[in-house]
This record gives sequence, C-alpha cells and structure tokens, in this order.
Amino acid sequence: MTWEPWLIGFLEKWTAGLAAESAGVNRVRYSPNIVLINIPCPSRLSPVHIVKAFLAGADGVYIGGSMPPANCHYKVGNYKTFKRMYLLKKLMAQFGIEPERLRMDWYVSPMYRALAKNIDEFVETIKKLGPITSRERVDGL
Amino acid sequence: MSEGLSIGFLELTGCSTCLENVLLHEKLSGILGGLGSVKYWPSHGYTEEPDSLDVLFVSGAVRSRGQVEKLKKLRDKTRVLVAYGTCSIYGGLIGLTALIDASSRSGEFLETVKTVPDIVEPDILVTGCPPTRDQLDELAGVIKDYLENGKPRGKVFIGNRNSLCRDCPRKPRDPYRFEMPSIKRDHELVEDDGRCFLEQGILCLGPVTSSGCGHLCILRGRPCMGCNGPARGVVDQGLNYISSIGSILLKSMERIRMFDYFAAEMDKLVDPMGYLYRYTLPKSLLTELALKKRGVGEK
Repeated sequence: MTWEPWLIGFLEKWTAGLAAESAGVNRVRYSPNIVLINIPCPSRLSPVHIVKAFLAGADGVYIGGSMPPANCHYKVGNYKTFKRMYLLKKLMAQFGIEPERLRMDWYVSPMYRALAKNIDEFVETIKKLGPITSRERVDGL
Repeated sequence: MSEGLSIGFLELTGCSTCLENVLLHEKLSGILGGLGSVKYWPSHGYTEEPDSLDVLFVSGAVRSRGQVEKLKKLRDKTRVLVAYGTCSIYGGLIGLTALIDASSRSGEFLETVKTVPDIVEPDILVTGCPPTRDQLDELAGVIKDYLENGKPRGKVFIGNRNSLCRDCPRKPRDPYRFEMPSIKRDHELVEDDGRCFLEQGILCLGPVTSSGCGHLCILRGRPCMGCNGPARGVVDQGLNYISSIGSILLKSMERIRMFDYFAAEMDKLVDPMGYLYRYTLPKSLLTELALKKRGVGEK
C-alpha cells in the first residue's frame, strides 16, 4: 500500500473559495489529496486549529487568502493571518516540524488555474517531505 | 484534628524549593500537624516508605522510569495527593528538556518529560512557581475539608484561573485602540511609563496566564513569563499567545506596509519556543506533534 499525502486547505470564501469553484466549473483538475474548506476569513484560524489538524493526521495545511492583501473582505484579515502563520512557522521549525508543511497563497477569484497549479505543487512538496507521523494511515482518505 | 496524621513529601525532578513553604505556612502547618507528622520525605532523612499516607505533596516533573513507579506506588497508599507547584502540573523549567531524548544515554530516563497528572490522578492541583500565600490559605481550607468530610468529586484546582490581564494594575491607554508598536526584549525598554507592557512593545505572557500569582512580577516592573500556567479557556499558552499578538502587533501599519515589514519585526522574537513555553513545554500541542513525528510511544 503506497503512502499518499492527506492535506487540508482553508480558503477564504470571497476570493480563493470562488477560485476553487471556478476550477470546478472550468474542469481544471487538481490533486485529489487535498480537502478544501471554505471559511469566511482565514484570520479566524487560530494556530491551535492548524496544529490540531496536524495532530489529526494532516500532512500539510494550505491557506488561501485574497490578493492584494489590502483587498481583504474584512479589511485587515490577511495581515492578521500572515502574522499568526509567520510566527507559527518559526515555532514549528524550532520544534523540528518542517515549516513547508504550512503554505499560504493569495488569490483573486479568476485565478483558478493558479490555484490548481499551487495545490499540485504543494502536494509534490509534501510527497517529498513524507508523512508527518510514522504511524500508518488507512488508505482512502 | 491533626492527631495521628501522616504526611509525605515527594520531590521529583525540579528545585522543589516550593515544598519548604508548606510547613512554613502557619495555617496549613497547623492542619497537617507540623513537622511531627512527617512520615516520608526522602531528601530530609525520612526515607522509610510508610504503609499509608493521609496527604502526599508531589513537586517536580517526571523524568525517569523509577519516578513513575514510585509515584504509582505511593498513589495507592495515599488518601489525598497534592500536585504542588508548576513543575508537577505543566513541567516547569525542567519541561524545557521535553524534546531532548535522554533515553539514549541511559535506559533509566524517559524519552520526554511527563507531568504528575500524566501518570496518576491527583486530587488537588496547586500551580505557581512557587505557590503564593493566598493559594496556600485556600489549600489549607480544601485539605481540612478533605480530611473531615472525605473525598469530593473530581479534581480541585487551587488559585484564580482568570487571565492575568483581567485585574492587571497596568492599564492600556485606550483598550479599543490597543496596539503593540514593536517587539522589544525586556532589556531594551528604556523608559517604563507604567502602562501595559504589550502597549510598550514588551512581550508579556499575561493574556494567556492565570492570575493566581497576584501580579508578583508585574508590580515589580517585569513582564509576565507565564509561570502560573495557562488561564481558563487557553488550550496552549504559546499558540494562543501567537494568536493574540497577531491581532495587535503593528495594527496601524496594516494596509499601509507589505508583509516583509511585519516579517522583519517578528524576526526580532529570536527564540519563540523558549519564550512562549518557558513553563509549559511538555503540555504543548506542538510538543505532542513533534514527539508523534519522532514516533515516541505513549504520549
């Protein structure tokens, strides 16, 4: 049984979430290893949520926000997301967890091809890094 | 009431200086029966293990397999087990070695640092480094209640579990326009104007720390280091702290400067692990993840 990475993605529903929907409408394929969740604003994500996702078995966490950063639907959400995730990456590096397992990208809604490309890239990165826990996971999820 | 009480003190890894305060506190000492009722205290010469104990105070973190066995054995003999001090509940300063695997040196060591609630079920938890006089007053009442009326349901947590900021004497200028202007290390503070430390740019762990200590450091002009453990509702001191300073750091520069400006400011926090988890590293979610990644078994 070969190991396949399992990723979770949180997309801001006003931009990156719309891009993911457009990707579906335009039949653009991206890797099935990721589960995407639309949330109103990624700044609602606490670092606790991210670490709990890792603990639950996710090999990587993807966050999609809006671009340009000042164009956030809630005005300052992207900046708060960036600050939290930047510090979390620093912490993760100190604990011996690769900070590349957490990735942030910024989108406007027509960027569905970029979304698909970035997700595929991210899956490739995680495949190189390997599973986050040494435990075997049930295949299929 | 204190006739025939037998009390014990167990010192695990840690400085265990806080245990000395138990018998120095008049009220608590009166209830326990003073030095005369001490039956077990290995570091003070009472090395013989008694058949049963009424109250056992445990301080320090668990680092070796022998300590695990001793703790389990004494738990069966004890009526009231008090996990005493931050080290025994959250790991304390000893907990900073949680990610160092000493078991390769000697099989006697555990792979990580464990705490007393990981191994056995304590009846009373007292945080603090060391626990303050107010906490000991409260502890005296609880122990008296225990000995007279038997065991109440569940664990008892001694101390105020609200956030330290809630009744902090250092108030911000305007709580609705609260902003952290920079990240400074505490020796870089030139002029202390008596306002909130975060508003002056000093990292203070007050928002995520429980306030049982009575603002000992803050009243003396030092930022909080988090020795009293997480406040109520805080899952993980470091992660929740990141979340809270993410909201207030350089708030007025948002939408004006780009991300690299914020990144440059946040790089001034050189050692986030040592700073944010100085007393609670073994209980951190990230430690759990790092140990899981290494394949360290039980935790």
